[in-house]
Amino acid sequence: MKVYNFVYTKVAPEESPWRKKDFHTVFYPIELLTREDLLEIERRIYFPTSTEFNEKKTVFYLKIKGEYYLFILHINNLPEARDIYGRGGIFLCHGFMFPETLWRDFNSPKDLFELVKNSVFKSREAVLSSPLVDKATGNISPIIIDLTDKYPVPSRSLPEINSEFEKQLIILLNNFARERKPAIVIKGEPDSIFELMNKLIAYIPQELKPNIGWDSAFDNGNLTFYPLKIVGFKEHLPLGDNPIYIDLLTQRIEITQELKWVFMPHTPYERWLYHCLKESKTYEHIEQAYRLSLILEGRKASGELLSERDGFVSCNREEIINGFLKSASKIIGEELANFISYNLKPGELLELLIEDLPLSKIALIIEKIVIKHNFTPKAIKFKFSEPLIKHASKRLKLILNLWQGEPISPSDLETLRREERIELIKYLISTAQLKKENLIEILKLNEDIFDTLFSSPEIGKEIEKLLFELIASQREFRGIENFLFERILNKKQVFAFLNNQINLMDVLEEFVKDNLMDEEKMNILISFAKKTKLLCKEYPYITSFLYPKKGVSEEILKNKKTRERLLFILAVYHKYKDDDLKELGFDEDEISKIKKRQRDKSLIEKIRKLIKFR
Amino acid sequence: MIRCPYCLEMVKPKFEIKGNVKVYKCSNQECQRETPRVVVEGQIPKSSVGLVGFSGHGKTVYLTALFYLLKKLREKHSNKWKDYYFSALDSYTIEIVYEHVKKFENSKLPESTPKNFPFPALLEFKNIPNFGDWLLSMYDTAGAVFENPLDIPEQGRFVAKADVCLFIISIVDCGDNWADEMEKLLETYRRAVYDRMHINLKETQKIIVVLTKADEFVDKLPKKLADYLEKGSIDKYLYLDNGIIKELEDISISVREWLIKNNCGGFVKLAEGNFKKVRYTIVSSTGAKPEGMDLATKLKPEHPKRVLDPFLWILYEVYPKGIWYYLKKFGKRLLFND
Repeated sequence: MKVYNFVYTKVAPEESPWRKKDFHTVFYPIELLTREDLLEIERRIYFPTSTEFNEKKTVFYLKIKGEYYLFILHINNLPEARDIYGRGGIFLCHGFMFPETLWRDFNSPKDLFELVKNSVFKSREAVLSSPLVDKATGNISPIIIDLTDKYPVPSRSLPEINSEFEKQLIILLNNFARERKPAIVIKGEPDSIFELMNKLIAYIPQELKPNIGWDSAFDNGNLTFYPLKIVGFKEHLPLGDNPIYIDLLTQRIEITQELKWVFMPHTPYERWLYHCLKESKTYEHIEQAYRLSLILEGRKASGELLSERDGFVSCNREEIINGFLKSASKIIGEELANFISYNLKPGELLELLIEDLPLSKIALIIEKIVIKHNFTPKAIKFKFSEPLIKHASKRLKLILNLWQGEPISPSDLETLRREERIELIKYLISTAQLKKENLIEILKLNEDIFDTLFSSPEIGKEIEKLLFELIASQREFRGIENFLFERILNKKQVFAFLNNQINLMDVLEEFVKDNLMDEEKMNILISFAKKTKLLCKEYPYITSFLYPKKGVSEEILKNKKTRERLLFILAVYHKYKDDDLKELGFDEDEISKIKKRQRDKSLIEKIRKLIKFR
Repeated sequence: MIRCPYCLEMVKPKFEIKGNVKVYKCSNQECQRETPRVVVEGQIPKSSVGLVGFSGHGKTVYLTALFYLLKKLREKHSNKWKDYYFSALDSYTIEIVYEHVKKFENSKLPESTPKNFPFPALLEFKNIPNFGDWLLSMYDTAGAVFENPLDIPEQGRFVAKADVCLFIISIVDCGDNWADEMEKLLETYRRAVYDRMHINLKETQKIIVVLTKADEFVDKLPKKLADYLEKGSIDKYLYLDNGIIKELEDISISVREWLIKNNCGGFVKLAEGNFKKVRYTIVSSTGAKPEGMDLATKLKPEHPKRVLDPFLWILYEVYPKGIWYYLKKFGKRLLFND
């Protein structure tokens, strides 16, 4: 790995390849750096003249030929050195340029500096006698670092943040990285400032790192015109630019009211840092959380995302909803975006944003929401965009068509999976958007799921309602509809009835047959029969018991139990005389036995009433 | 509106009250520096001066020597200067006047000026003989800035926007082709300011050419100039009268002629063609060539020679003239059909 470097100092003009006698960049990679680049670099070289000063490191990022390099300038005071006029004030700046691949991998400027520490020039003599420099051209060869050999693999762990003070500074620095203001002035020893900044910069996402740069000793400097806005000082306060003052020793921060915002998190990433700092353990976490933040800000982000998102979601609920609304509104319209955001949890909205709002998924979600909450056009008054309709599933399309007045036919459901059909039919039943006939047709063709549907309490109730209406709609059975309804339910014949496998006559026949001994019911049935004429030839029990004048079934007469019951019904309810009964084949004994039983029964009834009265 | 002495933008300073502190602050967002009250409220003439010159040619030494003498003039008991004094308006100026000058008084030369953005030395003068009160901001820029035209718009902006430019040149440090070197420096400065800052110095700036380290080439000077230099210690200025400007003008003409005779015609034309006004001076800030970082002998007030000339020229060129000046000038033109 190549680390380019340069030397800025003052040498005798004859020693300089450029024949200059004042401070200038004496050696630099001439193929890499242009005059403009040099000017930019030199603007960041500050030598504090007004204080006791030995050495410092200035750190910043600068784009050279389209690539961001991390610059670490080692500035060394040479108090004994003199220029050609015999003047002091000489210093030596040995600058190192770490390519992007290196600083992205290492992250910590301090670790990077360790790689070149042994190559730092400490005197002008060392520079001029170095085999790296070419006095004729002014070129200086890069330092070659073999990362595979003697250098340790950079740590992926983030430095530990031990105090609220450091946490505050992390937020401050993130705000600075984003806004490039306000200026920050830190009082302390240059080394302590470098250490602190090295720690804090670990919490800045790599994309924003190039906005950070600091000079750890800027005593008496003029911030107004200095490109680096984070500076340290030991004794003499730098001036200009209305900065924030931080005292490293006392951990005191001096700030004006108007700058208080810089200690508050403003982006989803910063909020996550602020509230979930302990969740960030590695450099990867920083990048992953930052990418999530970018997505919320409507930007593209490639690479892995934070896998544990609960903290991120909980401290960014509003941001997620707003981010979703902003992005989704452009694609599916504001109303639909609002609709989705109202019905989904922030975590789910974030997932959608992560997946870049795929229309097919949005359509699926809308479909689920509509079905889950039984939404109808009464609740959803907005239109679905054409692209969304294109991506809608068949089921959603059916629903949308239904909303447009196009009914769903049973065949429409054929291609749907079992679960889809269940949900759709439930939706159709719950929202009553289909005509009864259509619904019944659909139910009839979905026998395999009918029991599941019917077993759902709400849907079961709706089907029962439908069933009752259907029974009640058959006028000839008016008066006994409750019997028939209950009978169908009890006998679990709902589907068979809906599917016309049985009709109400069948039901009534069976009902009569089973309830011959229930006098109350028989009474009602006979009263019903007296009012209603039914075509009942094929139904022996109905005919025999309710309409005996139309003929009594031989089968019933043959059975001892039913014969006895028929005799009773005919005698008691239909008021058949003995002769009529004899004509039907009943003998004297049978008739008198029934009469006796009737008398006994009446007596018992009278006694019971009397006791009750008493 | 005033020109902020720190950022040189035309601003309307904001008046801020915080508790017991009441200050003016520059309204330029990038600057926002506390501006001395007198700069904002003072109804006195204000001027800014920038120094241009190669590294090692004595800009900082000249300024230090000037401040040294200006300090000494406060102590002198002459009638002319009896009410005169000056004060430093900010902490940086206090540091220059009381620390740098102190080192100079102890015969130590200032260190070379690094290429940092300079702060101005802000001085408020009271009762200067023949003139009056005055507010001066001076910018000492590193010589390295003038070696590279690309640097000038950034670090040399203070000089470019100043009312007066002190063009400091030590011809003994220019080598054999000193005429070319002078021309080169002036051309670099002029061109960078014109092309890269779009400032036409012909309209905005007066230039005072200061030939420094004159003690080192006194043998090359005509006798008149050599004598003038020799007799140019502080005492010469104690009895300042109206004739001083006439004398300065006379010397300026002589230096100009001498420069032309010494192949500097190109430089003279370049200067006169590109600045509002050009004046020429010779100066010896230390009186004798220093030895390394130390002066050759223990510094005494009479050692620096003609150091006050450029200062007086600045005053003369920028100080608002009274009605008598214009009447005289107009009358002279009429009389001599000039």
